[in-house]
Amino acid sequence: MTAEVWRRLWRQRRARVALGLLATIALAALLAPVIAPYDPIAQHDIIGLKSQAPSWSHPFGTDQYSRDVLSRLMYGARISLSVAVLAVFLSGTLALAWGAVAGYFGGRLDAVMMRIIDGLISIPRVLLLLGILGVWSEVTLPVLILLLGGTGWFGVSRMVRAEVLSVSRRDHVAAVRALGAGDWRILTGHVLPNALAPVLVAVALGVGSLIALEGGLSYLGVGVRPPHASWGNIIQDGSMNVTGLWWMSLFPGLAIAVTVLACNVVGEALRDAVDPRHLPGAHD
Amino acid sequence: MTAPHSVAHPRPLTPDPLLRVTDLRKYFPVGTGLFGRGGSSVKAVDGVSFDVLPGETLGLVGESGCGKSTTGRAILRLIEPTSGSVTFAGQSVLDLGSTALRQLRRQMQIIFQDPFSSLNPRMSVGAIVREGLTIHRLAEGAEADKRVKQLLQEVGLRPEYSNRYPHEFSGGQRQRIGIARALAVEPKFIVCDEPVSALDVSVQAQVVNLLQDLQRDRGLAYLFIAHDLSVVEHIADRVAVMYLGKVVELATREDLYREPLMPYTQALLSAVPVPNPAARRDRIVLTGDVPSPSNPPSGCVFHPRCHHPAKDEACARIVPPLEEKAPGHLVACIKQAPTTVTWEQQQAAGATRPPERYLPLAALHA
Repeated sequence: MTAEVWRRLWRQRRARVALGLLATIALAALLAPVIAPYDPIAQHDIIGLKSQAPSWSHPFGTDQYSRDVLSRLMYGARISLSVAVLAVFLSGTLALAWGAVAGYFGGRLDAVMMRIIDGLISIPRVLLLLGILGVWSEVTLPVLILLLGGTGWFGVSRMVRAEVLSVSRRDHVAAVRALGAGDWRILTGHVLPNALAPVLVAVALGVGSLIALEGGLSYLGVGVRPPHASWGNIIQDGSMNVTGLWWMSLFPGLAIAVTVLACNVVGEALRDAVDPRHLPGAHD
Repeated sequence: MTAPHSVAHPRPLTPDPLLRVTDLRKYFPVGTGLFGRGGSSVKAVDGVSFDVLPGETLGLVGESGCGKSTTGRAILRLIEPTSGSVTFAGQSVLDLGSTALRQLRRQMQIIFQDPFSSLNPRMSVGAIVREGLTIHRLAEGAEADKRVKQLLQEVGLRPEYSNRYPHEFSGGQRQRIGIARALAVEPKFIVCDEPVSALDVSVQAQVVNLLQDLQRDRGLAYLFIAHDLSVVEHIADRVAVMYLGKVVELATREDLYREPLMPYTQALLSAVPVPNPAARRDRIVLTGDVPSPSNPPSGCVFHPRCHHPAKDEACARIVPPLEEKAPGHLVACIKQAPTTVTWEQQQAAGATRPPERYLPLAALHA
């Protein structure tokens, strides 16, 4: 990402707002040990303080084990965000590499690579993950990230391949080839930058949907395991009594919604920043 | 009378060409099955031969889809030719490995028709022009900046424009940027692939004049691909006419425009508009459409549409070789009788109009 792109991104107000929100959430997650009011795992008073509605001492209430929901939300953000970002980074990289090779070199290689994708994409992702995670009781976070990232790139790689295929045939790519550039220079310097816009949007959207997916898996009890908090398993903890313990669904739900939305806005703003034609009157 | 040239490899007329294209073919497979077998092919370029001399402009004209652009790109190996040979400055281009090819590409450049898709929209003009300098390590840092500014000036753009992006420019300016990009690596030969076809007429003239100035200053050779016959008449030294993947006539500009010998060229030239409403002209109107290049007619590919009075069943049988029918004038037509006498010699002998065997336009309509 060049400084130029950053500057064009920062010039958009929606990008500043969304990045601000994401930064706030990330900062809260990062500084959780310093700013969280309580220990997220501590059960303060299993009789007197369990299932408390929001109050001044517990702004987001407590759960049925008397743990502070705000503190759990902050600590949960560390897990949820890092799982989502790392998994999307992994799947984006895989998608980019696979799609770029298939689309750029084409021919039989492309046909074989895309048939493999057809096969992989036909496996329902959530069922696959449920199967693996359900059988495997000792899933560590790195393994969870590998599984989420390793199963999330098939559709995006197709998109990359289509985009690379179409960009490779443009005259400006032929021009650089005619200048004597090698495949690596053509692909990284001229094809991928022009094929990146949909990938960036897909990645930004992917962070959102991965947060939701991780939440869903944790909610089903196979994602992030207790006592670690993630946004998904906080909701799960409150799922026995959603109306009675509404604060346990509302606050993590809002955190997920705001993060997903902010990711989407950043994705779109990034798309415009990468493509100067989308910005009105950009002269620099 | 000169001996007829061999069918497969018509000997070029020129002793020391910069570029020699011999029997170049490019077939595109179509309708291939799942495993790439059993399909037919489109004969986009079907046995094309010509030379380009140092510093000359060879015009390559023909209708859309006749294979002119494919020829240009196959010479540069932007499309891999199916067969044939291309020799540039003594090197056999089609036999080069990728490293040697990339070295050679410094000397052979291309300018494109579409001023929009031919420039990378994400790169500034300076970066676009600089790319060639970087690839061949011709200059770097401040030296490269200076070269870029010189190049922009040379093609008639302000050096300050180097920080701007392609979308901020008009079609004509974009073509100038594309020309500067090609010039950066100091080529000897440029394929101009319809460089002015997408431009307004007034801008066309500016770009054509720029190309001529650059040719004069730098001694460039051009393969100038176009469908506009008047542009080619303005810029070309010699002209090759293509029809359905084959060169059907090749002559100097003067000979070709004054006395086209191939019936197809005659029809093409008779269709060029004359800027005089009072001028009366005999137009040869071709009937039918261009046949499909995946299933071209037998014999002479032009025979189904040909208006030659002597056309007969032999035309459908014999593939006409590109032969020298008049001095320096190659024609692919078996009905065209050869002559060794130039028009100048005939004029000196008192002729006022070309002989009948030249099949001038008027004679066809007599």
